[in-house]
Amino acid sequence: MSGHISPTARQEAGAAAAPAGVALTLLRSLVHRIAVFGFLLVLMSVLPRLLPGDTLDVLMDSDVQRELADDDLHALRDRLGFGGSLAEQVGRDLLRLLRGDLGYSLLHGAPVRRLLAEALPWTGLLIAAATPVFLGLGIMLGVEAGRQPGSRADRVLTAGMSLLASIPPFVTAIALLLVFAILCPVLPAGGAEPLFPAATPWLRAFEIARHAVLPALALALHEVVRYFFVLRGEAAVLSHRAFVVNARSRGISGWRERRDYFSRNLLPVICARLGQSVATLFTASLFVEVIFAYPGIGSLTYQAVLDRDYALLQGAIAVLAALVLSLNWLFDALTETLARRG
Amino acid sequence: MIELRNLCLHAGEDTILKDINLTVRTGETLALIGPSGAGKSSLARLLLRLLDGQGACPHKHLSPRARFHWSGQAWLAGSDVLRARAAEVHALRGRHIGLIVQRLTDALNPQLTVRAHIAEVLAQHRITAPTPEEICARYNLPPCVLDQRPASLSGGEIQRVLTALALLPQPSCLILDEPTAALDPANQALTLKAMQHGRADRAQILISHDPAVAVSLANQIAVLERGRIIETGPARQILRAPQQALTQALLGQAPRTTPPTAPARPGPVVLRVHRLSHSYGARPVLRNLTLSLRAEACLAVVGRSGCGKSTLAKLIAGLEPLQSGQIDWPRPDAIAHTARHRVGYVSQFPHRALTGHFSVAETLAETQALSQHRLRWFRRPRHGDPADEQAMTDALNAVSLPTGAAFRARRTRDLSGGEAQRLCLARALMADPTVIIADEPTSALDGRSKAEVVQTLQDLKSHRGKALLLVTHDPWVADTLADQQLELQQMSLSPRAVEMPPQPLPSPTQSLS
Amino acid sequence: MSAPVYSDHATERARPRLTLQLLGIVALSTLVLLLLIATLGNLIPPYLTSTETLQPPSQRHWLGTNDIGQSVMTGLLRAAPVTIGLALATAALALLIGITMAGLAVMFPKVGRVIVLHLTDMAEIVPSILLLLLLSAWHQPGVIEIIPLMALLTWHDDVRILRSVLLREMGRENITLTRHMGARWPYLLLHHILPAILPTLTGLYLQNVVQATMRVAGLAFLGLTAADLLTWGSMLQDAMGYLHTPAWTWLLLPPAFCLTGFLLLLMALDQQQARRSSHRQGSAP
Repeated sequence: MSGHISPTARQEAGAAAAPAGVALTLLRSLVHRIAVFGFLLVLMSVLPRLLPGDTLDVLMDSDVQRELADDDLHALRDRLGFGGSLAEQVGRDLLRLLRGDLGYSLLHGAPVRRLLAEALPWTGLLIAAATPVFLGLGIMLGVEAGRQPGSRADRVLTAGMSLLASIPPFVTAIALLLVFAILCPVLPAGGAEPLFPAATPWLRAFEIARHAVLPALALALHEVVRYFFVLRGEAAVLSHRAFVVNARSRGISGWRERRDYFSRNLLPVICARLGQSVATLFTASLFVEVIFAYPGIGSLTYQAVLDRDYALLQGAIAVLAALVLSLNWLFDALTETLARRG
Repeated sequence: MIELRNLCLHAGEDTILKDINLTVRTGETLALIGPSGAGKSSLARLLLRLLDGQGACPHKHLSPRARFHWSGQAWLAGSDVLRARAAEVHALRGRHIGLIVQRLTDALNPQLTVRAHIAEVLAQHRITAPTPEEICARYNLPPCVLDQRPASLSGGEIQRVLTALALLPQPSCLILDEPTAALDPANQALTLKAMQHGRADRAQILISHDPAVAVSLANQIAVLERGRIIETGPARQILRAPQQALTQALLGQAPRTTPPTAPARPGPVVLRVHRLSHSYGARPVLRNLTLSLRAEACLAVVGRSGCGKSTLAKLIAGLEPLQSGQIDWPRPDAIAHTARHRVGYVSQFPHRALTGHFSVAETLAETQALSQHRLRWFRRPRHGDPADEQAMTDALNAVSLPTGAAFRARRTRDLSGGEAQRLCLARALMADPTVIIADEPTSALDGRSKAEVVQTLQDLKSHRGKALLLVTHDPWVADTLADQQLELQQMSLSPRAVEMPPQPLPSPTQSLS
Repeated sequence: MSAPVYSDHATERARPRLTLQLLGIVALSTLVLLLLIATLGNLIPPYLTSTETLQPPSQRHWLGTNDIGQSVMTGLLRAAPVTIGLALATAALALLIGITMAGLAVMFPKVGRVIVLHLTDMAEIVPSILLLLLLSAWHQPGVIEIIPLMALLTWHDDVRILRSVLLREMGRENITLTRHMGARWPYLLLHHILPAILPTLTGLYLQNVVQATMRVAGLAFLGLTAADLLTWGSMLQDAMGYLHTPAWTWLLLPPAFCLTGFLLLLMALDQQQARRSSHRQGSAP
């Protein structure tokens, strides 16, 4: 009982929707995502305007040009999109975003689109490097523990993972940073590249890989725990299913059993989990990037929050939300199709 | 050659198998028969060591003590499987000891085609000889199934694939666990034929509760009851002259129970059902039913499952709103009762009908408080005045449950099935109903609990003067209890003769040996 | 599920009480913590800045001092009730929202169910970190804001489970029969349904506490909570600047250990509770 039944409860809830058909389910979840996206867009357009000051004031404060005439100020306000009533401003904001114009970061002195385009690949690199690690480890360890619930392997792995699960992910990341970059500095402590990138492409690639090891590992460790517990539970259920018991009675064991009987039948679960992972991965990468001073989209967004750079924040959140929502919708669709196959 | 010596199996503190001694020579087949829950399937799994690290209920965290543990010796294919190490067990499984199981749903890996299943076994045991097509021909499988996934196979095909997979490595010991239980006769014949293949070279244990299958395949029979072997011997001898009552019952030769004596004087009519019809949505379930029920008598409604028996019971009990027809209560004292307390309703699953965290006393006190309209929402009824206590003792006595304080304090979830069902009856009695409606009261119970509950119902009828409406598909229960039997068929009732022709012996026509 | 009957009646009988006790302990500890905040404010020495900055652990400051001369030990003690209290309160509020939503979905099977399930679906896909970043850029949340904010981001985890558990319990035959005999919903809810779902509620609550602890710590670690809110997470944030000096041993480790210890305790409680309730379920089909 308790929360441990959550996958089953989820399946029950899903089963209710089953007769409606895949297409309808997917359409409904698409509508949900669009609604959530719209909500986020409106919120991020409204919130900054509820503050007493606006970006212009921040800019004025920090700038020397205080002797602007009222008319000029008004013109500047209009040009930057701060004129008119709240509804007008929000409407204009949304229209602008929908056109694909993400605005201009006054603090960075660059278009938001360019800033994001520079940062996204680094985050992508981290996630791409971490995914095979946590998927591989999670599946291997989860199947190993779940194929014989209660066995010694299960107890050792579960205990170890419980310990790891009780350490907040950012603490794990700091520990990695401390041990491998500061106490015995075998790997670089921050950044994505050395200050002066190497000239040859190969050397440069090597340097980039070296810089990515620790952040990617921190990201992977964070996800391994989640996958382990989900997959262990599902594998434990599988281990009691008739076809697994039959296969064992036929002498199927070892690698063949783990791959064909456990991993293959866990695919829908893994896929469903991946859908949820999209959001948690971005969250985790934010922490990791902040800790390792990695120039990805997470640290860019974080810096925008600290600087109150609303244009950048809006652009980053719009892009991230669109990315996260559409990716996990895709995984949902994939899971749904996989589940049909049984 | 299979030889079991003093084999015992325990799950936690429960004993599942006790002192099993069996010998099956190569070329012989021993049929192990017995009622469900006797421990037959556990034995099959134990001999392949599939119980390692497991407990009686799967998916649970178990303390090591609650797991299965065993003692004794089991010599199969020249090794003592009970003592073999994990690596030896892996080497034995499939190659030397095969298992064919009863459940066909979920029996094959949904992700793999039949061909992949076969290839897997061939690779695992390093067999090269037959091609998949040859295997299909040998085991009566159409070659087109090779590239299908299990989801599109029929039950018979799945069973033959399982047979092929088990027999491919030519094991010297084979255990068949209800191999044909889920099949229709045509498929049974095909499957049995497939199982004949290479039979002379192996020792087989056939687990079954179907004597027909046992007779057709086995030359020895052992009867298992509650974990012990109570009778064993050559098949012909046991068939001709079974010694134990259980064996007789299993072989369909049960002595007839004495038909219930009709009550000396028929009691007054307490319930009259007139032209009752019911439908779920557009689907009619009952049409124009008419029946009447007398005090101190039992009316049994029998019929196949899904024929609407339970609906009838629920309608009379008032659990389902009446759509058309009349239910009359002619007795004046019955009218005095509030409608919902005229009927005591007992259903199939006693543990579902009871609230698990309530104690026995609370369960009874609650009904009493309800029938006297003094239940307060904020107070859980516990103890009453001496009169209440007396009523409680009476009710427990009436169903032959202990009346002591220790039993009253037990949680209902800790009661056995039989105890729980009798507690349901006691609860029904607390409101002093005119009619007791029992909807399949014994179908979820094992043999002994069943007998207890039937005895209790008999007592309630003859000693307490209750009218009993029994809904069942079990002819034994109906014959034992009922004064009158009605059969519900195609939405209407017809009388069913109490005297049944003795059940025919299993026909030997299915024998293919 | 098969129905083995456990013969160990004495311990069986004690179990429902244990669940009640557990809930009691949780409620009591919340109360005690609130009292602690109120009274110990005077007992714990004030968290004052001093000139003794970045001192290693010594007799005077058991866990050393930080960059503005505050004693780390005092900080830990003062942050404990805030961190734990925030988590407990957030989890309770989330559970309350979850129960309300599940109850609405069950009570109004037509309109309520559809609305609640759509809301849950949407709450599930909101990228919570983005929302948090957005809100804290606008206004850095203090105690009062964090509790509802975090609760609004966690409740959806509970709804589906609570709904299915409620539906299962309310559709059980014992409820149908008792209702037929004349019992009313308030009585049934209080005495039949609530005790039956209590293990689920406890499990969900404990998991909510874990979630809330992690999230609040994360938010504080990013420095996005109000500046005067002292939690173990914000102490970790303060330590980040001293990773390259020896000071990390006394600035970073103590709050990290406190946080991990608390989470470990919660998870152990949760597992114990899950095991107990799964064991108990064994005898009821």
